[in-house]
Amino acid sequence: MKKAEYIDSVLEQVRCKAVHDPLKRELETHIDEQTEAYIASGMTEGEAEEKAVETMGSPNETGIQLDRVHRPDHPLAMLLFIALFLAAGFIIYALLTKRNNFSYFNMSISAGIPLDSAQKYLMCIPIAAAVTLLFYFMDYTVFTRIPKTAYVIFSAVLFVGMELIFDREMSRRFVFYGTMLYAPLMCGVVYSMNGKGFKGFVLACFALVVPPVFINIYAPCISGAVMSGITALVIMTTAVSAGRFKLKKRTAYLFMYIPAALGTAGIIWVKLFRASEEYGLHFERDYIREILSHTQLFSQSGADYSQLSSSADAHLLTAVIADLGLIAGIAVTLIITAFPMIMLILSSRVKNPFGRITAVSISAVFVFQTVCYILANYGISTSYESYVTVPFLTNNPANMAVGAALTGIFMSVYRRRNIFPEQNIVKKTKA
Amino acid sequence: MKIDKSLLTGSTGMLILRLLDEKAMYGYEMIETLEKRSDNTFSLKAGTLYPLLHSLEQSGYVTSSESEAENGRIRKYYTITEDGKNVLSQKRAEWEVFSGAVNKVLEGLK
Repeated sequence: MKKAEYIDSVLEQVRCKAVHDPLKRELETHIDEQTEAYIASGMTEGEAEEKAVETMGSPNETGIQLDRVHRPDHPLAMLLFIALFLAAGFIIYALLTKRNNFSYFNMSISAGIPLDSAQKYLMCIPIAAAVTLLFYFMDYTVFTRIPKTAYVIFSAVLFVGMELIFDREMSRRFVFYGTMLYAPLMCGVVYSMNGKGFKGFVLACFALVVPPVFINIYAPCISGAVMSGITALVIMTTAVSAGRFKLKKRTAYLFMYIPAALGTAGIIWVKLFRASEEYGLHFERDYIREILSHTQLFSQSGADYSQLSSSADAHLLTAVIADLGLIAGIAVTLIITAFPMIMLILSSRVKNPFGRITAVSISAVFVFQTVCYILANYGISTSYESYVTVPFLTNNPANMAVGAALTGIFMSVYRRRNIFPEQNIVKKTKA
Repeated sequence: MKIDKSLLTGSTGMLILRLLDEKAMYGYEMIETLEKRSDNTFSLKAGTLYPLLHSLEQSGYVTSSESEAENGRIRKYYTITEDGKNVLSQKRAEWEVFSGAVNKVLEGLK
């Protein structure tokens, strides 16, 4: 059997086309090395190739085994969860819109069309499905192609876009959604710095933190600044613990965590507590506490929450507790908590380096959002940035699309976790 | 002496990890080294090695990177990870207990 014939027979058995090229290269090199050795021992070229192919073993058996290793793994539980999430979301919006006595869930003009909150949510469902599937079938390693250039261009677009949007609230929303999308780009940058020493590590830290934090503080969008800082920290921690940088891990952790802790404490103190007192932003937190103080277990409390910020999705949980009762509120809390938890569990199953970093970073974004959302909706912390919602429970199309895009990328990582780990992202270096 | 290959089943991964514990290697080099070290007892087929290597990589026990050799050939080098080192020491300990027990039984039959 000839080399090409053998390789074709192996590849015929491997259903996942994405692994064919790297697999072909690897098998070809092996046969060539073996052929060379046989030629050196006195065989003719033809004999040597035939003998080399023979020593490879049965192409069918090899192909079947490789197919077993490289089968795509669809995160069916997550797909099902998203479908249930969307169905539950619609039911919640429909119930609240029907039962509500206030203008909070009533008609609003959306792109010139008068829609109530439930109708707006219904409009978001096909957007969520389309965006999730689009990114799900995309090869997520695209983020490693030109990572640094893409990162710089994205930062520039975010900054310029923020400046061009005159409406202040819209501009901050734009920055926050953009910051959510930073996660996979940050991963690409870190991945491209694989094997660097301490200097490279420091450079990566600054590259990940400075642009998004600067843009968010300039916006100003404090939630976005904190979220990007946490995302960067999670990415760098994952990269360092996986040995992506050549340095002492303890030094790296100290370098990251001391300034991160100080910075986070400073931001929380200045912006969330001091600033909120100055501008009376505790109003919303105290108002939510007042609403929740009338909570019934199973029924409508009758509390008026029409003075909450205009965006219904930001306080959906408070509205559920007030209008549908505490038990319904706890059920919704469990559902929205389960989503990032499932993602964290699935992330731990992804072993390839870039996939792992990407999955963990997206999970971190959702964990951050969920924690902020729950704390704000139970009146525990002050929230004055109404675009911090949870994925798939918003009736804002842009917010829904961003959450769906990140979820789609996450699922693309999971789907490909059994496929050649670094198939498109290996760098050729001289041995 | 012809060796029953089933004796090796389940231990090939450990042997591969042991080789990679010394240095990063490419597939052909692993087969050659294994053969030399075992005085030609373990002659691993490439068709067995590559699925095993890919599965070790998926489990996070090894990582791979392609490098261009001096002869212009692209070789894929495999490197053991921290997780791989941990599994190796665990498997090694298991093997010592197992082989010790087998030896004890065999010696008792003499």
